[in-house]
Amino acid sequence: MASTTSTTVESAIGAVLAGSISEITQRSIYRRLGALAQIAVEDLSEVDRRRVLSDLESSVRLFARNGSTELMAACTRALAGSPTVAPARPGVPIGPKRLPIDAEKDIAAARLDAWSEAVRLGLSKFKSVKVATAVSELARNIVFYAGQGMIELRPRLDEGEPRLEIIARDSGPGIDAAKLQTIFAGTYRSDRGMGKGLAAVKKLTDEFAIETAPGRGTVVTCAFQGER
Amino acid sequence: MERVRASGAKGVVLDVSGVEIIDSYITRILNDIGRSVRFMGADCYLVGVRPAVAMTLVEMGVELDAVETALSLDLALARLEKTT
Repeated sequence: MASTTSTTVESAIGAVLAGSISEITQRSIYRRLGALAQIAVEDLSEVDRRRVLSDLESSVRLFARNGSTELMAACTRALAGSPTVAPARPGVPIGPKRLPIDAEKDIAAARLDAWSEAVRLGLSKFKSVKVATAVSELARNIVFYAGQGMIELRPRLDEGEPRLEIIARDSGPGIDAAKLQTIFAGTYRSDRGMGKGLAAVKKLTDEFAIETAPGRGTVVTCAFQGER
Repeated sequence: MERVRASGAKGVVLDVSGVEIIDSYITRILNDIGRSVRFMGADCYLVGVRPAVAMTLVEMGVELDAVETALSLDLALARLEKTT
C-alpha cells in the first residue's frame, strides 16, 4: 500500500506523460497496468518494473504523437531505474496471450491488447492498426453471434520476421457452407446489418482460415507477418 | 436527431480525429447516422479520419457511403455553407 507521502507508479508516469498523452488515453494505460499502477515506486520489484516499462512502451509508441523515445527514457527515470536499463526488446515473443470474450466491453480491451502486442512484436504501424481492426471484428462476431468465446494471440519470430497469429474461437451456432460463400462473396447481409466483418478480416490478414459448421462452433485462424 | 430538427441545422460534423480504430460495425453506425441526418434534410460530414484508418477501411472493402468526408472542420463548414 502506498503511503500518503510516496509516489505511486501512476502518478510518477502521469507527471511524465502529462501534455503528451491525453487524459483518457492515460487512464486506459493505467487500467491495463492494473494493480501495478497503485504500487509506490520505491516498492516496485525489478521484475514488476520491467513489466510496467514493457507495457508502457507499447502504449507510449501507440499514443505519443512524437518523442516516444524521450518519453520512455523519462518514464524509466521516473520509475527509479537507470536510463540504460532497456525495457523488454520488442519482437521477443513472451508466449500466447488469451483474451476471454464474454461481453461487449471485452471487444475494446481485446482490440487494445492485440494492437499493443502487434507493436511490441515489431509489426509496422499500419499493420498494427490492421491487427487491432481484425481482432475488433472477430471479437464483435463472438459477442453478437456466440455470446462468448476466446481470442488467442500467438506472437512469433519467423526467421527474424515478426509474425502474429490470431485464433478466435467460440461454441456458437457456427456458419453453414452456403452462407459462408455469400459472406466471402460480399453478398451476405444480416438483418442487424452485421456480416461485413468476416470478409473484412479475410482481406486484412496475410493468412486466413476458418473452421465452422452449424452446431459446431467457429474457429478463425489468421496471421499477420512482416514489418511492412 | 432531435437537435438537428430543433435547431434547423444544415449539417452535422462528426470529429473522428480521436478514433484510432474503425471496424465494419462502427462504419455501419456512421452510415446509419449519415442516413438519418440526410432524412432530416441535412448533411453529415466526417472530419479527422486518420490515414491508417482510411487505408484500413479501403483494404477491408467497407464503404462510408452515407457520410461526406472533409480534411478539416473548416473545409467541412465551407462545403456546408455552399449548400444553402
